Amino acid sequence: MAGLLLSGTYDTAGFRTCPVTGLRLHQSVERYVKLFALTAVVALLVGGISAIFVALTRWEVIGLATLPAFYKWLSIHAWNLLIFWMVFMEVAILYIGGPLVLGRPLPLPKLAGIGYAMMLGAALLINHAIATTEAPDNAPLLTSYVPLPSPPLFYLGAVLFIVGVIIAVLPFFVTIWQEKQEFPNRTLPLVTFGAFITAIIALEALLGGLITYVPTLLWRIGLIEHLDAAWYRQMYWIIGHGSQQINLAAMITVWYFLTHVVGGAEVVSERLSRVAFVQYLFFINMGAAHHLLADPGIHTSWKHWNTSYAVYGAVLASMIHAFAIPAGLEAGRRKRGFGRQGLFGWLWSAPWGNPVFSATALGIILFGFIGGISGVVMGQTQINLTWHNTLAVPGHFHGTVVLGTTLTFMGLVYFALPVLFTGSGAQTLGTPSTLLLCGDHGAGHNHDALPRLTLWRAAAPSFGNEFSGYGF
Amino acid sequence: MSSPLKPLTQNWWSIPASRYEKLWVWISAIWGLILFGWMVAWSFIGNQNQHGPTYRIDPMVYRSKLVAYREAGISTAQGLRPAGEDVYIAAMRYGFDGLPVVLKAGKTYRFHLSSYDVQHGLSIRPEHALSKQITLQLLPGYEWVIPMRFDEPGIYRVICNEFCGLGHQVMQAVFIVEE
Repeated sequence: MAGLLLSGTYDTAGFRTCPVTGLRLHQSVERYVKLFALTAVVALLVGGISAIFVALTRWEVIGLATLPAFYKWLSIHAWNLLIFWMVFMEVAILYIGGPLVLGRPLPLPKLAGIGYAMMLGAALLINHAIATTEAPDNAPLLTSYVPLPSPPLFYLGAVLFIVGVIIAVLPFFVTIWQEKQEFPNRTLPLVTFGAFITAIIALEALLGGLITYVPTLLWRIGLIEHLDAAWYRQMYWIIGHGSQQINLAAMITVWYFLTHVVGGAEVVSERLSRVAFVQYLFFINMGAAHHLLADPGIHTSWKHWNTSYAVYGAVLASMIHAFAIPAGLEAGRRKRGFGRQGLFGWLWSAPWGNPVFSATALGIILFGFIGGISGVVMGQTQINLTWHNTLAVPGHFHGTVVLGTTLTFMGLVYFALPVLFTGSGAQTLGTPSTLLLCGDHGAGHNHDALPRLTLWRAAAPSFGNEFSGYGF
Repeated sequence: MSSPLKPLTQNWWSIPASRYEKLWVWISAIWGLILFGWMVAWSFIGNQNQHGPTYRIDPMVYRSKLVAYREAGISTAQGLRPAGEDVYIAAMRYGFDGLPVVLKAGKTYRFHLSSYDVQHGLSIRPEHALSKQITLQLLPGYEWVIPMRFDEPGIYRVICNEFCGLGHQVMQAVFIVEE
């Protein structure tokens, strides 16, 4: 497999031209994008399988798992999907949005490798710690609220994973620095800018994670006697919600990327789209306060300021993207001569049969209407009183992270793997990757796309012609 | 229009957005301000708010306050009838100390809420409509005092809805609201 990851037809400088986007891809970037994305897909598979155990236990007629096993499956489900699937994909997205889009080699590839190894090791450690949880420890679920103890190895794994991600993100920041050194008068492409904002939000969240998990680890192994429950909640949600903010910013970056490369979308207003990304940077982190709306010890004014005024700054940014991305699709497709017939001809004529496009489009629509709206409603202080810690909460975040982020990232996987494996063993490795995706469809996220994926892969040359018509 | 994949060399900041997009942004901004205003306004005009002072307290001290409160009230077969307007509840693995209580409909009580051990949830549900609920987070080391009034007489179920260990699923209690 390592051989497949390394092969390909590159020029002497290590570049090749992407047959679909026309981007100049460097071997070093491709190698790590493949590595992180494939690992993410494995985590998706593990998380998807654990979902079956969670669902069949909650369905009391079947009641599959015992009580301790249920909480372990639930924790494995949470960590593999909400953290490992998403974060491994997000590092891949940063490498796509940074060096790949800019046509640069990946700087400091050794750091990327070290970061990857730490993340992978920590992910295995966390899964191991969850699977072997015994009294007095409890399975951590996602939140591992202090003072309920979780296994010490779990906290250690969380710290190592965070450090691993920080190391893996450094080559992205170096890329941006090198680009600005070389071309001080060029503005970063929008996708790179979105990835840059994502990386800054990620760094904030990750530092919050260290502030949370390092003292918690010390507390669990007895070096700190007491850890305050309210302190933990406030610190934890810097990363607990912060990691979801990374998902959001990364997902929207991917929306701009994929609607462009498979739908022909353009950017209608660079100014507004970029202002919207900057709004996330300033407002969305304060939104983490909505997790504390039903908490004691926090003044109402603080709750109101952070969860309404500040959050609506971020919601406004999402509203801008909600306009800009469909508008960009319409304008771009009309410019290319699609859909001259009727008001929505540009939309009906879009490549819906291509799972890259349909996954992205459904992700955009379902994220906004189910995940986004339920989130804004639940973030209202007094309504939160009636929703807090009920099934409405998993309902909401499955709207955001499954229907939104997972569908979008699956679209990216459908797009990236065939492209990146072209001429480098696609037949060998493409088939297992397709099978891996099948595993996920079995979990019921998108029954539709499976036969289409197969068709699409078989029909790749004809899609290639359509792409070339766009003149990238 | 521009490609999201290509670096820009022109002055993109000076290119104005279309008027439709500007209109959309203004509608969204005004809508956000209305929601913000409504959330703040409901704190003053609404009857459903989770506002109340919190005090740091050692769980052992809270336990002794709860014992003194229980001794001041009248124990009945249905539950404790509090002596005054204060109601003390402490969550612990896996039950609610201080419950059951018998309260009067329409009377405002000061609920004192805390936990003896780990984090718990206090989910209150009227028995005739179990899907209607409010939840408050209970933290060890903090005493939260919230005024509460129950207008409808009946049985109210209390369950823990914060994972607190393997007995979490059986952690429940009741209180009764009388005419």
